[in-house]
Amino acid sequence: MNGYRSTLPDLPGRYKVPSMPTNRPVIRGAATALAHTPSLVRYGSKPFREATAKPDFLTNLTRSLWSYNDACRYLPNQVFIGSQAPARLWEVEQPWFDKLADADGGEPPFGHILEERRFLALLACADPFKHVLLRERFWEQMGPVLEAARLTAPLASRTPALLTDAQMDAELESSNSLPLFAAGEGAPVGVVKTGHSEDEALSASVLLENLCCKVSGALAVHELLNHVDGLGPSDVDLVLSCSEEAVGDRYQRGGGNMAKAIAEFAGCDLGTGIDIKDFCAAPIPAMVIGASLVESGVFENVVVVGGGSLPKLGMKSLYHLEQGIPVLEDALSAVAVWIGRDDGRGPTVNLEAVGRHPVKAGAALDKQFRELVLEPLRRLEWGIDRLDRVVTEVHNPDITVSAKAGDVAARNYKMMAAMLAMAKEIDKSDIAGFGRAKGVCGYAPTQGHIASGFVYVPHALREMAAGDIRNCMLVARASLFLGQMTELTDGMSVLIERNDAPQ
Amino acid sequence: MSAEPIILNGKKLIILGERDGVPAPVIEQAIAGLGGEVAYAATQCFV
Repeated sequence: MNGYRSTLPDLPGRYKVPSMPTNRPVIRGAATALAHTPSLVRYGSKPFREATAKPDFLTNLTRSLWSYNDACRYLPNQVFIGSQAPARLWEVEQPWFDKLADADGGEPPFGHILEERRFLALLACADPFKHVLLRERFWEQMGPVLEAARLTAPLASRTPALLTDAQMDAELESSNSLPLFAAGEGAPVGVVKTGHSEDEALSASVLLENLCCKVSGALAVHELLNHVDGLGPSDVDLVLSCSEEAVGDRYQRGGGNMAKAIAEFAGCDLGTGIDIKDFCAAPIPAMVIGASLVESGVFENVVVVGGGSLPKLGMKSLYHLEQGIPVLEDALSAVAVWIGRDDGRGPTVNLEAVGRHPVKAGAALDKQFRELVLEPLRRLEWGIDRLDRVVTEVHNPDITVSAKAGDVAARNYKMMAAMLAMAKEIDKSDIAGFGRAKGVCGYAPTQGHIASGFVYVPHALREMAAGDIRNCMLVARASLFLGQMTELTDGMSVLIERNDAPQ
Repeated sequence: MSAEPIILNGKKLIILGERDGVPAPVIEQAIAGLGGEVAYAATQCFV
């Protein structure tokens, strides 16, 4: 049992350490994609409801949205794409939205920030059913732009459905359609039609949500392909989507399969796909499942991808508008991680130390962290000193503090440290400094599955390659109670280690 | 501490928990046996 000790005294010895063959799964690459989509904020869940109830809401919202240039100069976005290290955020006093600064220039290490009009054009390219219709003039501008860029050219091979100005005007009169706006364009550049007049699961808003996830997820996959050696589109055997959307119809809402849709759109023609659902925690189970499939030999190259969440755009916009600050939730974020066979370099996914949250552990946060952080360490007979980094939900505090939701990352580290102090792993005097010693400052958009430890994978790889850290535990939690099938939460953690770490 | 059951007896309670703080089921557990009737309990997620 490898020294395992249960943290719940009435459930002794419930986990068995699996027998590991010698071929270890490793993370061979990771990338991010950020699509700055201010004109889609109006279709976030909260803004859409507010705009329906208050006609002047959209006017205020539009005034408070950033330009693409502003978004590129925002420090948390620069950290997201790897142009800055997360530690830089400790050095700059919050808030950060009033301290815009140019990045160092050059290619962003993890992925680009995509401008809105390119993303809108890609929505149509990604839509095989032609529910997204673009204005002819708009495509005449954007088609060549997409074709000219290495990132977007492979995704723009399908010519979208196009409308003349007169046809577009007629289409926009339909109450079931959603106009697509773009900053700087006077008239809508496109429209999203409903997929079925009697099926709410195929409404224009649901289709738009799903297409946003599909396109941003495929962008992250292509950023990954462009950033690594040894993985072409046809080398991908399996795509696991840990995205938040629910693809389906009225007979099977959430039936899936976003992963396969992303695989197809990204050109992974020999791969297949499966969705992994677990609210915001989904990326970590997806990584564990992906690593297990590589370990077992079932698949050689697995890509775990989380696409962006449209409903969460503008989620805190009411607070931001009240305070007269920019509406900061204006970008769709996506992450892709390649898990493959041991190449002697990529950090290993330690399947002996997968933390889980059993039903009986209950909902209290300290018990969650005992199960997700402490129990795996004790299974490995590790003290906390041996763990260099632990990353949990790193939501950007600029967004949440101004919305009276506090600094999520800081609060989590405080609770984690208190739990570790109770367990005699650290001294009480170390609680206050635990976050800075082992953790990361929040920087991710409030798209829960992305903000989970998943977003940190590219940084972890870079820090391990530089010799800054030996290992990193990724911890994700899920608010299952939101679906009203259980009052429980869920969670999972996984430990990744530098390839040369002692076994 | 002995006053708490008297305070809650005959009361209907609305419990709002928070996923990063104290969730509603934990609050329910904490006040079990103190009297009162839980009319509504929910945990909120603010991110």
